[in-house]
Amino acid sequence: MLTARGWWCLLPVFLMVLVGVLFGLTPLAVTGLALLLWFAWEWLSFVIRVRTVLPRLRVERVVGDGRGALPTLWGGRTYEVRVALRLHGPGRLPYVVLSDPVPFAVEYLDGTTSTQGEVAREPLEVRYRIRCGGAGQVRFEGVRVEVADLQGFFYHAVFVRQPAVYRVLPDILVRPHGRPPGKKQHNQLLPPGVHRLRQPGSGSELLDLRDYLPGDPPRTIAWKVSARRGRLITKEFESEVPVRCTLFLDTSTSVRLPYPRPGGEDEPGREGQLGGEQGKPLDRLVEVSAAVLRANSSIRDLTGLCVFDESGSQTVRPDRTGRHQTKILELLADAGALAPAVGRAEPDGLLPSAYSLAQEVYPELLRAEINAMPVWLTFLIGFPRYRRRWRGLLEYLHRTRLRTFVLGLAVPSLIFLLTLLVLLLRWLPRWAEGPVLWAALILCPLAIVGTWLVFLGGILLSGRHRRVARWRKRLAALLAVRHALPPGGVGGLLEDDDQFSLHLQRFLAEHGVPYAVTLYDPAGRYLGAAPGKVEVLATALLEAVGKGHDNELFVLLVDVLELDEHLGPLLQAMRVALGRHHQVVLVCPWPPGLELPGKDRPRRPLPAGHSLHPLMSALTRERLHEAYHRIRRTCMRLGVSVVCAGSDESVPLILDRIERLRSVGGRR
Amino acid sequence: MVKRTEAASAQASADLRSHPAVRDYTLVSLAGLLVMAAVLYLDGMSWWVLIPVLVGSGALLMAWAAGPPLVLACLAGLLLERARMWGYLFWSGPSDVPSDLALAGGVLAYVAGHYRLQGLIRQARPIDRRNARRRRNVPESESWFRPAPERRPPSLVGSNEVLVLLIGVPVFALLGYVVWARLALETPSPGLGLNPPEWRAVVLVWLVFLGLAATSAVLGYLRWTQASRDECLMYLQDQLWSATRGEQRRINRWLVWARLRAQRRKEGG
Repeated sequence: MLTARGWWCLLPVFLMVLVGVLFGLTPLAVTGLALLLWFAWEWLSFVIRVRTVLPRLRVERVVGDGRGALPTLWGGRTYEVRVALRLHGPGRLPYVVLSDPVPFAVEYLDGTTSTQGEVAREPLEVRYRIRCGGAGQVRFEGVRVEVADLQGFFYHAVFVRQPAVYRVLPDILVRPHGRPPGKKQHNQLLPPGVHRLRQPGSGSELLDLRDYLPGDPPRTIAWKVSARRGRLITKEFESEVPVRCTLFLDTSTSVRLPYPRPGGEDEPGREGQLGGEQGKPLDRLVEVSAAVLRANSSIRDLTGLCVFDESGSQTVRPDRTGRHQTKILELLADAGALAPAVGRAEPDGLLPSAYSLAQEVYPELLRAEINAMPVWLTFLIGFPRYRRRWRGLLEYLHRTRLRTFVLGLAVPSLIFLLTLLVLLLRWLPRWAEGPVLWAALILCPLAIVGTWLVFLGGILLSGRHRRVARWRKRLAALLAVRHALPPGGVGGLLEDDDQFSLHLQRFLAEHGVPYAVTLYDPAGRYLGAAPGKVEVLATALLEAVGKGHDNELFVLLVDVLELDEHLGPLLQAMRVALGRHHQVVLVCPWPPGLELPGKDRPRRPLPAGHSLHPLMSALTRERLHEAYHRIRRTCMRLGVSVVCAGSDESVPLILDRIERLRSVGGRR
Repeated sequence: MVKRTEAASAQASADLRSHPAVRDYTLVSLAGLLVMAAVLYLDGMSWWVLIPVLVGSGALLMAWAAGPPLVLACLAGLLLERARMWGYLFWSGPSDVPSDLALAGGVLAYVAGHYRLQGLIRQARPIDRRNARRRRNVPESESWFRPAPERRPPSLVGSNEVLVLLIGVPVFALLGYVVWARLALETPSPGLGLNPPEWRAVVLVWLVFLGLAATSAVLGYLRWTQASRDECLMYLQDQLWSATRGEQRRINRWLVWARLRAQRRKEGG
């Protein structure tokens, strides 16, 4: 709380008073005492203000677009954020700095995110503009409030937490004609269905001719044919029905992981890790889902949604009401906000980001009085004891320091004592007594000295490890409270890397902070494959088929490019769906910028040269093309179309494809 | 471009200096220095009084944060030297109440004015070194917190801020004198073997220490009464961890060891 300036003022003043009192200098003592009392008064008034006024500060946040506050945002649109810091009750803070952190999910455009002034009856206010990105969620955590006195002697910073989460709905609904989504465009209601079904109905296309039955409407009698045949013949028409379209959206870890960075020599990425610079496959899948929803709603088709991952699924049956569409859009927004959760990710890479976030947002929960990490403990005990990967001798010594120290002291001492005992009892031959004694006298002290050296050297060289241990303990305690872990949860998080990593990822994801995760485990296995989702998808598809009506369309938006060996249940489910005369389309996410696969697969030679990046890019391209063609071949055998969702042009392409499929399906 | 930036910076600095609030605090500080110089001069220190005056006004001009400690050091040095020369070191020499009060008031006005001026011209709160480091590593457009101004804008200086300071100057000078007068009455117990100045120093240190301890206790208690649910939970959890950390460590190590071994066997098989 006392700043460097405060210390530099207090110290001379205190010395001045002491000198004045000790040497009996009245002017000096009186001046020093006056300064000291003034300093104490400033401190007391500052502390009382901090203790009594700060807890009564409230944040009022309004996100709107000029027409008022909005509870839900749209992707790609610009909004104004107004934040006011208001004091409820009496009191006054003479100097306050207010800073509003801009969420990572939005782009800051202009305006001020921080301001300073006095907080009393009038609130402090900031205004700035943001632009939303893709579908997902925007989380505003609260504001940082810094309080200082007028001289700059005392300073206190708090974070007034008032989380506000706004859903960002997919921007695909905004683009056509540039109209906002809320505006009513026409009054004419479309017919309930425009798709032909080859079953007798009230459509306009002729389906069949049959003998007249009593009760048939006279207008359906085919007079010419009746005259030719000499008996009454009735025309049967096709049905015109809506298509029930169910979207199966993959939200497993494999589509939550961001695409690889462009990389190259200018921008080296971390080995085995990904950044969030180009979005993630899930964004594209959400975009395609929203586009299909819009296309369906424009012709009054019914759309359903099944969101699934490796652990389970959530299904909304097809419907066409406005409330239903809103529900689907909200589900899509929630899906877009999902962050990757890799079980075996290394926690060390996540720790600095999580600790920085905790320092900013939860400073009161990291205070030493309630969340202590004794310094001596970091010198003696290292955690976690067991890890998957070997991280060098220094790290190993840090983790096993106490055991090494105790064993290094106890074993030589024991050997020395045993040697003395053996010599005293004369159990050795006379000629061996001298060498054994000398060996014990030299080797045992050497071992003890060596242990001490290793111990002290480890302490000297393990500064970073001790700092990480401190962070880990404090974060483990914070996560145990935040995630309501049972008693003893702190100990579990300290020793279990996997659990700690998962909780760190959850903590960062909850606060909308992007983070990088490891893609491969030490054995080289890809951690984001999530093969369990195939089984879940197959079950969900079979359930949808079981409850489905005629002429149903199932759009599977799923990343199965490298899961060939796990596709059995899904292929079975597809066969069932096709056997019930439904249509199935498989949409695979495709990395942006990577060449889209064609119908045939020409093998290209790998680039020559010593540069690694072009070679890696070519290998990735070849690997994905190969996987795509394998999937395509497998699905085409069943009669299932496979489409790549690779670029912006892919959305109309997919819609066109789906439309063609509907037409084909209608004429069967 | 660089020249234009420098020119703009110089213009901004000149505008800042000419702001009424900055001017007021500069005048208060200079007046405090002049009062101090006058008192010392009348006490017979001749041209030596120029030393603290020059140091103080130079620090004011350059907006130098080390000005007040240096002025205080000069003042202490001058008064000590005068006492040594006139031979009343270690006993309370001749005292003139008005001049003592004026000296205390002048120094207080200078110190307070100078530090408030620092807030208006240089920085009003400590610089967060982490932010500077982050700014180097992360582009501004991607940072969570955008940089906030470090100076207190002079426009925030209220109309009665300087007035309150000027009222406080004689009040604290008087309070300082009252405390000193009370302290001067203190006499050591004969058994302690301390002379009166030493005893007064001990009493003063104890007073400061006890005052700080009492205030800290009260504030700490207030803090606990205002603690949130999460803080209380965290405290309880930390107590549990402190009491059982050895057991927790052993149990969890065994569990992790067993799990990792089972995974290794499963994946190896």
